[in-house]
Amino acid sequence: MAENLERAFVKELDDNQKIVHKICRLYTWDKPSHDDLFQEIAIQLWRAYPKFRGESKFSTWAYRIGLNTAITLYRKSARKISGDVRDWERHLVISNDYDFEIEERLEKLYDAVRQLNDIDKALVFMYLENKAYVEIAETLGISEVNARVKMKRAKDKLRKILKL
Amino acid sequence: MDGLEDLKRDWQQNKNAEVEFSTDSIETMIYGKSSSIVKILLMVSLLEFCFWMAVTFLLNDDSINTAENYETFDAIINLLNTVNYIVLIVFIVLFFLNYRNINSTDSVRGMMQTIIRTSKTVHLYILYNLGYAIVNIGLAIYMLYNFDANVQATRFAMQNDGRENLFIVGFSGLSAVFLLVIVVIFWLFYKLLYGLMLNRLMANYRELSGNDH
Repeated sequence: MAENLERAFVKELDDNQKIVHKICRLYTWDKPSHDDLFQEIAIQLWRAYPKFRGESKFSTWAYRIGLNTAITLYRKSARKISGDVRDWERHLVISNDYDFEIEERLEKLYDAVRQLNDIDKALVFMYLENKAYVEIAETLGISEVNARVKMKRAKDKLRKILKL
Repeated sequence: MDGLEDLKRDWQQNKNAEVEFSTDSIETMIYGKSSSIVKILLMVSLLEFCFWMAVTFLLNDDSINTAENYETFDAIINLLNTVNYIVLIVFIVLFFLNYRNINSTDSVRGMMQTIIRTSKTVHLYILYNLGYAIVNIGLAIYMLYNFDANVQATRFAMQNDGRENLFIVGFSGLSAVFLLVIVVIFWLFYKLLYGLMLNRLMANYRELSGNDH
């Protein structure tokens, strides 16, 4: 029984890795920290999984626990100053269909978001993922009005960093 | 055209493959050691409970020795002991009730609140111990001053020399310093619990609670 649960969970997480990686990439500055955070999120997800009843999509359930872990639970080591952008090429799988331009623009975006505080990172993440304000407010545990105000401020800060 | 909207579109439409963990890696990593702050909070809190439990019992022993011959103080000490046990149990129960509520499926703010509430239980216990220690030490000082043979001897000796005031000042001074040291130790433990571990969490909590109350 327990084996089935584990197998089901591992498959779900495997299929939905991408969104967890995005969170890790936003909240960490280097690959070792990225991997550490991914593991911590995986552990938290696995612990919470027995109570997951499919009320929402796995990816939704996962990203919310992921954000909680990144913001509240994960113990960060000292932050590395925004360094060589090319350090991140390790996470890429280069293939024939590879779009370098998009990658470059996104890396600049990641680099900019990393400079925001933990809460703003979460807000921007949910903006990029096109989440409704109802969901954003619920995830953060604040009112929808407050979510809109904070989102506007976060986006303004981001534009400033990106010089848009 | 909003540059951010363009980037959002890039984010949504990005089809570049990214390195992912293998199924095997995932299977292994879910049984890894959690480095979550909650785990550390639990360990440190339990250590704090044990430490202060030991300290109060040690203080009790001293008082009992001095109070051996004085029934009134004996009764007070026994009362304090009983109260102490009850309070300790209440705090431990409260701590675990709060600790059990810490849930990663809560909202971000909700989870922070349960973590803060849990650590406040330990904080309150430490404060209680501070009060208890001060009462205990106050009692001990009072008994020392009035009943201890050595203290009496010194006091009368200095009285005869006409230096009674010096004795009072000296004794009070020493007592004050002793109490101060105790308070500083408590403050250090409080800082350890809140400062080191919950710094970032408190900052994030304040950021999040900004406009909501």
